[in-house]
Amino acid sequence: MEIDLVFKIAAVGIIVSILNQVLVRSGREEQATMTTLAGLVVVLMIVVQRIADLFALVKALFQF
Amino acid sequence: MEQIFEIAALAALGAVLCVSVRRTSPEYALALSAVCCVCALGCAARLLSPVLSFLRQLQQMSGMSAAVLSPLLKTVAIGFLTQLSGSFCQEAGEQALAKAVELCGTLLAVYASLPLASAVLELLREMLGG
Repeated sequence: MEIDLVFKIAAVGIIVSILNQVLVRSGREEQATMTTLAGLVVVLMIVVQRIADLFALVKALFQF
Repeated sequence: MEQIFEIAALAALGAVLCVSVRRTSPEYALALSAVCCVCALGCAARLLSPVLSFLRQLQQMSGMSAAVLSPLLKTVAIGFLTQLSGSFCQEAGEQALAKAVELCGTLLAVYASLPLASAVLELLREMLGG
């Protein structure tokens, strides 16, 4: 069980939201949007990899 | 069987983290819940391997051909993946996508079970002598 993955994604989410707040308060909306997007891409890469692993497992298990 | 404790702990932890992250960034909450679901299902799916090998053993003992068991397993896999992806879409608030995935899953399950239906038809024809 990869519990560290869950903590990793939650940590990225919290850090990105803090960065977003700081950047928006200091008047840099463009950078805040870019930071949110970059964090989302990092998280999506992890998620997509795991989903692909699950699909491969199901494919091998049920002999598709 | 200790996996159920791990899965329950993962689900509880994932729910708490999702609630705390959702207030500020809902897209991360969705990714977090997806990863929790995938980890739990991957853990449970690995336990399916002995069950499936038992099914294959039963198939060999009964002298059934592999063409009969294969559509059944494919339909189970289609149901598994359809339910998972439909739930993701529902959680993201996309009801139409979820319904489309479920509909596609149903159609593909019917398509996967087509060889089984034709085998039954062939058997009936042999029995009736036509």
